[in-house]
Formats: sequence, C-alpha cells, structure tokens
Amino acid sequence: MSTVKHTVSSFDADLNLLRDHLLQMGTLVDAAFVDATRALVTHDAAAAVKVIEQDAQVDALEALVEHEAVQIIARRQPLAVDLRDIMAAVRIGSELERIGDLAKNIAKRAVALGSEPPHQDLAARLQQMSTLAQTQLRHVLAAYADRDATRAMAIRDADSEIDLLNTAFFKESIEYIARTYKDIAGTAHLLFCAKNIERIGDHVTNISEDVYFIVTGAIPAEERKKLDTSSTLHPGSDPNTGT
Amino acid sequence: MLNLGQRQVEQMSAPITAQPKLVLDNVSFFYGQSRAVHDVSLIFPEKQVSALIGPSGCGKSTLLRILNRIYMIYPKQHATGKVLLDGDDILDPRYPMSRLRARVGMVFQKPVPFPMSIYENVAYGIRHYERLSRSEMDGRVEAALRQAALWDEVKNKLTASGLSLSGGQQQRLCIARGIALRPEVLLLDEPTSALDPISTARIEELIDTLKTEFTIVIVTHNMQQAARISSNTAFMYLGELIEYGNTSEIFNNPKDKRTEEYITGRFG
Repeated sequence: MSTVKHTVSSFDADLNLLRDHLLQMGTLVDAAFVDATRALVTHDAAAAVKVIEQDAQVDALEALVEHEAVQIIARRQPLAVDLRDIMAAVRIGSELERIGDLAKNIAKRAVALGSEPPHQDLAARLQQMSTLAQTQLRHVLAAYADRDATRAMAIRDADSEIDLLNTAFFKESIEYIARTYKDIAGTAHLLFCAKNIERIGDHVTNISEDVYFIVTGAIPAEERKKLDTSSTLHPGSDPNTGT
Repeated sequence: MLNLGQRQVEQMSAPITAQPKLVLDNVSFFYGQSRAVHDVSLIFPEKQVSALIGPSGCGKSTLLRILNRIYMIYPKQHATGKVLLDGDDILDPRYPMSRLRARVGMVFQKPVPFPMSIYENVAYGIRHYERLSRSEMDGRVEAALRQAALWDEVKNKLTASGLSLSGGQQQRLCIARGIALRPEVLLLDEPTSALDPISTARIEELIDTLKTEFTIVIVTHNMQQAARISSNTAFMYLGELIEYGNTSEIFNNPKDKRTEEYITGRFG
C-alpha cells in the first residue's frame, strides 16, 4: 500500500476501518480454530459449543466488511492500489468466513465425539497439523497488515507441508481402522477434521495470493504445489506419491 | 516510420498495436520563454479514444492545442518537434492551416454555439470548404446532427437559435459542427466538465459511437471518464509525459509512482 496519504483524509480513515475489521475477523477466526482443535483433542464438548455459538460474530463481521467495501466503491470510486485493496478485502473476508465455518465444523465433530476420547496418536497428529495451519493463518494476517508480498509468497509455498501431513494422516487413519476395527465413527470424524484443516490451509494460501495481488497488481505466476494426494490414496499406497 | 527513442518506448506501458494516426516526436511548447511541454513523444492510434490526464497546469490542454496549431492565433507561442498526421508534419508552417482544420476538429470545455440557428451552426463550416446544393447541405446537416445524437431533439426546430438549447445539447451541437467537416481527428478539451451527469453520459455514449469513424483525443479531469471511454491514457505532470499506455494498465496497475498517486487521489 502506498505510504503517501490521500488528499481526502476520510478516504484513509475508511480504508483503515475496513482493514481493522478484517483483522478483527482474522483474530476471531484464529481463536475459533485454536479452541475447536483443543476441544476436539481434549474432548471438551462445552468448549466446542462455545466455538459454534461464536461463529455468528465472524459472519456479522464479514457482512460489515462487505458493506464497508461497497460504500467505499460507491463514494470514492477507487482506482489502482486502492481498488485492489478493497476487492482483496472482500475476498479475504470470504476466505476468513470459510475458515470460521471449517473451525465450527471441527467443533461440531468434537461435540459429536462426546466424552469418547479420540485415538491418542491420531489426535496428536491432528494437533500438529492444526498448529501448523494456525501459524500459517497468523503469518498471513500479519503479511496482510504489513502489505508484505514476499512473506505472503513464503506462506503460500509452506502450505505443501500441511498437504503432506493430511495425506499421511489419511493413510494412518485407514491403517488404524483396518488393523483394529475400532473407533470407526470417531476416526471418520477425525478424518473430516483433518480435511477441514487442510482446507483451512488452502484458504490461507488464497489470502496470501490476495496480499500479493494488493501489493503487486498481479497474481502469482507459478502454479501452487498441491501435495494433498489423499483423494487418490488407497490403503497401502505411498502417502507421498499416492501410488 | 518514426524511430522513437528507448525512453519513449518505455513510456508506453503496453504495446499499442493499432495503426498510428498521430505521431508526436519530441514535441515541446513555449509560452514566450517558458516551456510548458517538454519533449513529448507518443502515438495516438487510429480510430481509438486516447485520454490525456494530469493535474491543472500539467500541459495536457496545451498538448491538445498543438495538435491543430490553434496556438498560432496567439502571439509568442510556439511548438517544436514534429506532429505527424498520417506521416505529414502538421507543425510545418508550409502545411496549410485550412487543410489542418478540416482534418482535425476540436470541441472545447464550454459549449460555444455560434449565435445563429441550429442549422447554420452546422452548415457554417461546411460552406467554408464545399459548395453544396440546398438539398445536399440539408443531408450533410442532418447526418452530422444524427451522428452527434442530437437530430431527434432538434429536427423540428432547426431554425431556432443554437443558444436556445440546453448545455448538453449545445455541446452535442458543437460536436455536430466539428464532425460536419468529416475530420479524421477529433480533439475534445474537457467536453463534459460543464455538464450534468445525464448530458455527460450522452456525450460519453456519443464518443463511443464516434470512435468507429474518428481518432479521438480527449483531455479530462474525470478519471473515471478516462477509464470508461478511452483505450489509451497518457498521464502528464509538469509538462512531461510521465506514463502512457493501455488505459486498463494505467488505472489498474500504473508503473510510475506519480501516476498511481495522482489517480488514487494522493497528489499534493
């Protein structure tokens, strides 16, 4: 973003407010994701219910961000970096809302699991994956706040790590079920949670591309590496290659 | 063909591939000793709309005035460099003024109909160049008024004074007057700045139609207007051409910081 202020200072105030609301949304979504994972791993249904209830705040903020963006477009007729900033804000708002929904879905599954503790090794794997995605989410919000395209691209590249963990988690889960014939419903829930986390990683990646777009006016030239091969895996196949 | 310097080529942020109509080669302009335009080189492509934008005093209207040598009616003003219209240097004093005026029409910021009838406003210029029968003249006047999207509003009052029309209609009458001579280039100097939004929309619609036949160069302070109606945009500042290229590039992702600061309202 340009460091030079607008001649009309209220334009800067409008843009700052939009950015603040988006970052506020990011903070709420981050907290929901952390709490939902913790609720799942520690089988804390009460905490999970709280996450579900609080999602409405995220939805309300998304509506506010959209409203503010439309107002700025209508009143200011923004161009160039300002227009990119506003268009990206709407897109990022939508990505954060989806992350919020995925976190809520993890929380719902934590409730569904009830007092049944998830399989310890799988739960630890899931926590590891979630922690990585949470870090990515915080980094991308910082890159957005700082308009840091370089950092945004590094975050985009790092998503492949989450993809690999998801593929490995899929394989382990299937092997666990095949071996024990136990906790089938519970493990299925965990599989969906892992997929949710992988999807959160994808949304973070989309946000990093939006940050890059704001700063440079271009979309990243190179196709992102996608290493989640879980959809092509069958038991006994190599998680890294899917074969 | 003109050989543009590296700097001029770099100023064109996107390749303009259409046939060149007007080629400016190192054009400068002087009000007495004071230089108002500095070494501008650019190409206005045929049958496209090109916009000149920039803050007041940047030289954009001056640049437009060079393109039909209108400055020559004022003392102590002169231009240097070349302006090639289909390869002919129109700044060459040997280039006949009457021919230039027939090939390059101009419409000003404030509508200035002649104090005569609507019909005569359009016919006046034609009479200067051509001898037509009454019926031929009627046909030419109607065609020009139709092209300027004014015919339906004035066809029943052609003998009324041009000054009796609304501001927007007066401006379209001036455009009809300009295109009645069948010029190749139309210069528009802030043609809608004195008009209400509806009249402005009508003129913009008209410009969009006219570009199929004329090469149009428009000076405008309205950034959204430039973005809407032009294919190419030149940003000028302090008499210099800062950036010139594809309009979408200039308004979405300008290369020069000064262009970006101007179009986003961060200037001065």
